[in-house]
Amino acid sequence: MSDTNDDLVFETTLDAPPDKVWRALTIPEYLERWLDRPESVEVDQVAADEPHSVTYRWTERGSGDAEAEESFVTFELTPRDDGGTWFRLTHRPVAIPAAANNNEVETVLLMRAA
Amino acid sequence: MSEPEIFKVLSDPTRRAILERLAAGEATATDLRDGFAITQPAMSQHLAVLRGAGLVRERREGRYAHYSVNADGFAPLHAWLARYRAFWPGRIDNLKDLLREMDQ
Repeated sequence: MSDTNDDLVFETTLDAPPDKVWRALTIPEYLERWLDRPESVEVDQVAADEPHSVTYRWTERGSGDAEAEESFVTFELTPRDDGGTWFRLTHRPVAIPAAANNNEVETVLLMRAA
Repeated sequence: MSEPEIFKVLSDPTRRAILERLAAGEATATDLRDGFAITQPAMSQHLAVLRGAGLVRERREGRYAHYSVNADGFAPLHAWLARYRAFWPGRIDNLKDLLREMDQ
């Protein structure tokens, strides 16, 4: 697991239990409200393991005839002792099976190429 | 090369692994095949795609071609990263606001 130094991983604590966060992430009306989705973006759920992780395909239409660009957003929820939730958002330019956990490769690659 | 094209090139796990290997330093196609269960033509094909995308450079020395990462080719990917690095923090704040408004 890459826990640090990956700029497209966002982690925070949320003051709500995982079940409630899960609803905010998966019920379309709630999702639309906080995500404030740009018009050019479409989201489709591609994997879900309630209430631990959910992955959306994030399709961004290019302007004019430009090809759409596909990336993947995964939300992971871990219960905390205080009743809250540890929240982790990962946005990847390419699909990587969650089980493979080889995002370290991506991170290293992007950093060295920088 | 546009962002979508780069994404497509990077969506192949073998090509990502080749880039990772090259990130550690220049290598020949023969060096690169070590550890990959792929044929010489398949490796050549991947290298051609990576070169076409501007992600890999080729340097000829005698009869050997040496390959290395072309950092400039990653610029569109960095632009994408910068865009979403700026995008998500505000959305996470929105999520926190929504959670406060929601019923249990």
